[in-house]
Amino acid sequence: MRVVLRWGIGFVLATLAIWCVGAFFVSDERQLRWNEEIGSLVYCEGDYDYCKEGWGTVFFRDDGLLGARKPLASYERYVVFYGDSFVESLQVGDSGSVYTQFTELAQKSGRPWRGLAVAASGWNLEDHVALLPIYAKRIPRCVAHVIVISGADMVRPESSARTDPVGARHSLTALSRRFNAQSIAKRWQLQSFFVIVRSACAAFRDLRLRPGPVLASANKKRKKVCGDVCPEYYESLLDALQDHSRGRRIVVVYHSLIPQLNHGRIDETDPFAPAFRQFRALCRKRKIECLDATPALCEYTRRSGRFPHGFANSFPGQGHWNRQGHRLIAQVVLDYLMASQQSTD
Amino acid sequence: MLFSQLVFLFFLAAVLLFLLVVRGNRARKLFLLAASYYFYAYWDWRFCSLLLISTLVDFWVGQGLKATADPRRRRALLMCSLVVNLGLLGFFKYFNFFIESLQVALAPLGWRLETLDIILPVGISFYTFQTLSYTIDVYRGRLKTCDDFWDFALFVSFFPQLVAGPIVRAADFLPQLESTRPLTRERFFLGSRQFIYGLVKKVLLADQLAQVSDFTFDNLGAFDGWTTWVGVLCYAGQIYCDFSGYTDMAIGCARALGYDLCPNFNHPYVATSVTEFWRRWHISLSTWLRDYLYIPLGGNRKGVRRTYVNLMVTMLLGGLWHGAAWTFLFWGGFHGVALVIDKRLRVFDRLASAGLPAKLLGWAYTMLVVTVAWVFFRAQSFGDAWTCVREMFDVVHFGEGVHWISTRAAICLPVIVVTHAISATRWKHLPELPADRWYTPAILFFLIWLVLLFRPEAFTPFVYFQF
Repeated sequence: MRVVLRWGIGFVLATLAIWCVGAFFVSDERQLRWNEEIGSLVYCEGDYDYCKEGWGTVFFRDDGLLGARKPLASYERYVVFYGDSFVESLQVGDSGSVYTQFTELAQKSGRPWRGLAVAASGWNLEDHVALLPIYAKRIPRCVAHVIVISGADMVRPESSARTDPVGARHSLTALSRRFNAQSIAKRWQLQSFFVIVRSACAAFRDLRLRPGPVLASANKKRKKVCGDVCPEYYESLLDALQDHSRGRRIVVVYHSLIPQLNHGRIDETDPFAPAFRQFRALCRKRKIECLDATPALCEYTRRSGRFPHGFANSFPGQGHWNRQGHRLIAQVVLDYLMASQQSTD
Repeated sequence: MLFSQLVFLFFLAAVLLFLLVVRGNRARKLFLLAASYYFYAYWDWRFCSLLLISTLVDFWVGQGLKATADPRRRRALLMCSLVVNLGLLGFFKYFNFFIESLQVALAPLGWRLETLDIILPVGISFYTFQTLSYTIDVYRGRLKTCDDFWDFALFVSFFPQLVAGPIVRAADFLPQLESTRPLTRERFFLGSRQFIYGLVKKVLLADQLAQVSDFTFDNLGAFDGWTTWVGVLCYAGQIYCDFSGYTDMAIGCARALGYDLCPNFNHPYVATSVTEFWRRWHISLSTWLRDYLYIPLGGNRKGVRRTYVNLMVTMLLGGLWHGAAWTFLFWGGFHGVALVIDKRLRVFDRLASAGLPAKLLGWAYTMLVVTVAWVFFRAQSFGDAWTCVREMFDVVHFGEGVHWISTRAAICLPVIVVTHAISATRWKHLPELPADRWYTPAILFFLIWLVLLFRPEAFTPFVYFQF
């Protein structure tokens, strides 16, 4: 009996220990909630830590914007980046993100522009087209709306439906907790251990969130833009984008999975290039500016032997942009905006 | 069915339950035999026939050796066992290798030979050596013939050690079958503890390090010197944790079932000479090669030169045992040369009484030899191996190329270093959690939780299954 009791207590202790580690450290498991004001699903407000590839902390505002902790100022001029998990920048944190580095680069170049972002994992062009008019209204002094699309978007026509309220049957509220295990870990220099443990504990529920009331409008059906046939699908999306672009500068920035390491060689073959060429032709027909960031990314790797994708916790040349990748994209956008401003002047 | 898969745990639980219910030794052994064949058939039922052929031939040879004292007839029986066992091994494992090598040699003459589509039966190298040891020992008169076919069949096919060792000697295992083995709580605890340690080595260390070493070896030529070194060290860690993890699980399983298997590893990376490394690495194979190859060749009894030749032959064949490729042969030869140097300089004997600095120097040299040798063991070709070695030692271009120090390497490699370092101190018994301490269950369950959290999504077989 004593043996059974001892092993039973041991099991409970071990389970508790692992649950605490997992539960306290899964703050990268972001929870979406329906935002009545924006009319869209956004992440619960708060700092989110990420550690699967690289690691960093990103602050998600209540209105779904990234890159500004304080309220937006009417005197500031903003450049808003719309994107997916790349722009979401969880792998590098706020400080290394494309929007923060854009702000830094712009200020160095004497332009008082501030970068912001509206991004979430899995969002694609359909989501951006739906969100752009909403945020364009909220941020009137906007220099440009930059839509960042990846090569995978070219062959993934279905929307991730993040902006579709179906499924948002619940609302979640963030709780604040000053002292959690993470701060203890940092104090004790145990971060590297928890990086590994946390990354494997994604199944645990985030303790920082509690369920709230379901909002009635969350159940409102939203009209889908189009079906899933690529050319027609993109044409309808770009038509919608063209409508939104009246009076606004809209720039589409394309990037792909290249350059990659392939059997010891730097591979610059973009598998999505044919689809992108078609897409760019459709953009040009509608006078929507479409930039290709891949040459800048490839050029950087050729020059330095480093990759704009990949981290210590993942593989070089694979996965999301690292800090340098974010900087390169920011530079591509800044160069374009500066050049177009000069030509206008 | 891998030891690290959930299905194996169900299988093991069922076997244990049956053994607990059934008290008779005979019934238990027959059930274990059936379970072992089921375990092997789970991978590919057709190759059970090979296992059966090996068993039948060696049992028959053993009976024949018992029945006759005529040296010529005894030698003929031994030859029969060698031809059948090594013939099967040679056909399934080395046929295509020899054909491909011949193709290269005959290419200038315009001759073309066809290879066959042969599947390598898992564990064939292990059970072939195991049955051969029985026949040779009986032939030499060092072992009593086994008269019970079912016992002998269980010795050959006992599932914990069937597919990747340790290579059990008949003299160690057959006597354990004579009486009913105790299934005590203590044995179950010790077996489970060792099984969990093995699981931790496999899932938390080997599978994590494999991701780094696989990526490094898939992209040789792209990295700077540091990254290549880390990748190769990760492979050294991976292969140790993978194989010794498997061995721990096998020994743990067997212990829980009531049987004892010989240890196969003893912290090999603390060795201060290559000779000592081979006394700590894959002990069951190295002692097999010593007893059935090196000593019959003459060992060190026929002069210095002959000793070196014997060492080289033993290590070359040891290399070839691992795999049908020239890189494995080179790996064996590389270790052979290192052992010859050891013997020539009497490194092992001198270091036994040397001070710490000399031991550290010996350790650094041994690690260098072993690590470089792993490059040839892991690389797909000599070209790849050479690229890797060049990246590791090219001082002029050491900093050129992609720099990537993986977090997995930064966490897992120190764990291996620490466990090895502890083994060389007076705290070496620290990992042996006592059964009667309150914290033992909590730590073991914590490890199980970690294994469950980190379990690989993909199928990750043990490295030594391919041998």
